[in-house]
Amino acid sequence: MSRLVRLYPPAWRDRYLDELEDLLADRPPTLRDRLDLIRGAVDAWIHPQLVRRPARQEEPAFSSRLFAGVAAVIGGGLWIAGGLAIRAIPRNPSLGYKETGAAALILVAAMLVTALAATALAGSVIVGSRRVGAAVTVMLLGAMLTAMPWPLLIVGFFAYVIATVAFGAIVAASASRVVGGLLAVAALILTSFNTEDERALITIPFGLAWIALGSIAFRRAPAVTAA
Amino acid sequence: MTQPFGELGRFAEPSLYILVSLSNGPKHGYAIMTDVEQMTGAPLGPGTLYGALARLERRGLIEALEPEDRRRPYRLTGAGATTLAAQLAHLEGFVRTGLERLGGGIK
Repeated sequence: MSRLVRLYPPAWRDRYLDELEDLLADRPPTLRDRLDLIRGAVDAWIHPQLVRRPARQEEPAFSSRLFAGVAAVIGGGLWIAGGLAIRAIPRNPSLGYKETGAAALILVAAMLVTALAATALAGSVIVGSRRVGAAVTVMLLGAMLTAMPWPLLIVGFFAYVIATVAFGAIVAASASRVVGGLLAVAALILTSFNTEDERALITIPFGLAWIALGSIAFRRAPAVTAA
Repeated sequence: MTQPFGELGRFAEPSLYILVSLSNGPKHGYAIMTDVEQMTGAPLGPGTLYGALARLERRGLIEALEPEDRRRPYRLTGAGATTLAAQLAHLEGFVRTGLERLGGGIK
């Protein structure tokens, strides 16, 4: 057995270590084999997505899934509450637009909570993809920017929405086609959100999509690897 | 090498050897390695072997079976057999063309 197998990433070793050690026991490595192992270890670090999760690996901790599910449900509820609250605010005749105030803060909170839910989902229910990591990072940064003044607010909002479309697509491809698709479509529709008219209510399908996504986290199923 | 082997980079040729090795039944890593060495005359390094196995498995061209002790056999999938047949047909055409041209040049 060669100590060089320790150069491989932990996930790779979880999957292939037993059989590789067995192979090296049958055929002690030559110098050329050792160099090949080093090269293979570098490749395994560069391409970690190649490794599938071993079947024996435990499903994600229930606490992680619980946090992800609860956050998604609360975040979805905040989206619905924020949209309804903004819709109920009368237009200020002297200003010519609504003073959304606290209702807008509900939507900022909704973005932050759902971004946290996505982060938790990415670490527990959907794992192993760089794309999902990038999507939740952009989602979180976008949500934080919406707490800033104009025009950062708008930049943050669209960053959040675009990242949510990407996240929904990843969920659709790896965990639930229906829920992921619903989230991606609802996020696309959210781009036409407007506080001044009925379009304030398009936060409702978006909020419902997050609540549906939360239900995935409560399922007793192993983590899935995003493509 | 054409798709899907072209995207495998340096693992393209070892991947083809592995698919050919598995075409007559499941084998574990060591058996694949010795079979490939017998077929090609060149040894397949352990790092290259498992780099190629991971890629083939990822693409659904082979699948891992239940381990026997610590040895895990692999077998060709339907998609793997189709891909291998297409690849061999492509190579056959390439070889035939090369031989025809070589024969023409000698005349």
